[in-house]
Amino acid sequence: MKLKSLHSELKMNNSAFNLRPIVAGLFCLSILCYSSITNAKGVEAGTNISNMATVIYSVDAEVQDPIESSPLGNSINGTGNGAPTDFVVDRKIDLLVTGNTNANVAPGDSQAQVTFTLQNQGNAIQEFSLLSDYLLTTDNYDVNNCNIEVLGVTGTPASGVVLPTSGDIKLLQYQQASISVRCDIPVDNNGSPIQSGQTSLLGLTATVERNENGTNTIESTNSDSPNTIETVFADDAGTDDASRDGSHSAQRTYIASSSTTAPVLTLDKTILSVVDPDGGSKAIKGSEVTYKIQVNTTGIGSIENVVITDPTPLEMTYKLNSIKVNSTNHTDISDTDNTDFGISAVDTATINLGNFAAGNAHEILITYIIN
Amino acid sequence: MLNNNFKKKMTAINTIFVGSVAAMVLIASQAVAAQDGHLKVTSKVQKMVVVNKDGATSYKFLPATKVLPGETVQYNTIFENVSNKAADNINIVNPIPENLVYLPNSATGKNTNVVFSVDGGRNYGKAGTLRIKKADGKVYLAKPSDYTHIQWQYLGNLAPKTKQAVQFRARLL
Repeated sequence: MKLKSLHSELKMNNSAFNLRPIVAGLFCLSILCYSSITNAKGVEAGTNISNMATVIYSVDAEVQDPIESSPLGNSINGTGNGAPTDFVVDRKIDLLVTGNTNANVAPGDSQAQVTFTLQNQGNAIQEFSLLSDYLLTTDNYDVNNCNIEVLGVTGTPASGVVLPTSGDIKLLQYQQASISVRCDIPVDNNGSPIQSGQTSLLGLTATVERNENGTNTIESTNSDSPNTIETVFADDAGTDDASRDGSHSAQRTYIASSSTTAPVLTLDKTILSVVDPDGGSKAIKGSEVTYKIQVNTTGIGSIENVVITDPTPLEMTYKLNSIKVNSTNHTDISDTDNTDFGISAVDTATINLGNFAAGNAHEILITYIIN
Repeated sequence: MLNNNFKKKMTAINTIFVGSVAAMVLIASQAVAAQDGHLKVTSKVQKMVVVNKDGATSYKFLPATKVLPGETVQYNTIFENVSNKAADNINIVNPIPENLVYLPNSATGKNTNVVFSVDGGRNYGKAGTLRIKKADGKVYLAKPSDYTHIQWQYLGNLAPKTKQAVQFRARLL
């Protein structure tokens, strides 16, 4: 640096005398300020910001002792007679939750993971609670049994923080936490199959809880003072929270990458037995023929409103009260067994199986007599 | 008077020995009992808030009671001649407070010449002329954020019972 040229600037308006020694003296008094401070994190809450100006002047061509400033005005010459003009940096509450990874899942998967990050963007150490929300309404299905865990933080954890943790997390200024949320994937969506590509949203909301000293974080409503630390919420709105509410949120997605098998129902009707009047098995007049209707289902989901009807075959007559469902005798009248003959439909056995989960099977036996 | 004699001698001191002279000034200042000066100097700080209304931007100044990182404050230094004699060669020196960064073109004052320092007040120059040596050993043109001190050189005399003010703005890091 060319000091000579810099000095010439100073001399420009001080023709009556040379100010350099005095200015240099001020340099000595203010040496503590000689450093260009960079603080990308924001000045810590509670920091006192102090300012004092010094005035150099002459009267009758004689240099006077410098006068320092004060908030109310100082007119006494000399170092140490002024007073700083101060204010204290207040507590800025700011946080950012960012969704990190989604998850490709299959129905029935256990504890599938999505990840988030939480950053303390305020200017003090801050403790946060974490809450997941798996009941968001703009998705196709809902995951369940969600568990939150803070896996790690950038840099050195704050005092008292042991990782991993499923509890509240205390973060230093601009420290970032990596968060895992693990949820179970249902086998179906309330009975309907989960199709490939369908999604379930998982929200994570972080909320400020306590300050560094353990007191609850509450936005200041008292009258402001330059010498006390006020708490100011300065957070933006997240996906599921408002701005300046001490919370921030983001969402991640569970994406079904393979669909469940749709329910399939099959019916097989076979002759279980033929008993003729002589005790044999000939199909002759008077023989009782018992048919077996096998209801089989596969896949995942719910099968609803299943009604089996079996019209009486030609040249045959229904044997009264011969219907068995899953080895249980059912009556022919309309009652609680949901089975009848000739009531719901003429000359027809009607068996109402109602709703049941796919994968179940039912066996129906009906006996007819050959005319 | 010891103090007056010292001041007269001081004007003739070779600036090569600036450091040692500065120390002497400091010692001498402390040795002399505090005396009523001719000037009364007041420093005030306010928070500056940008107001956007009906498409127009204006600024509002509030007490610096609630200040957060990233916000702007303005310092006003008022210097009043409380004596019966005119004061001249008035220089107002204000170190930029720690944790604040000077905002370009914000140092103003009626009838003043404003210069800056990037070396803690040792040397001053006009904005845009200062250079600073950085960690890589190279010399760069100093940015306003590199400034450490501001000096307002008041042009002319300040008549008795009159006052003037200078100001600057800075952003809280």
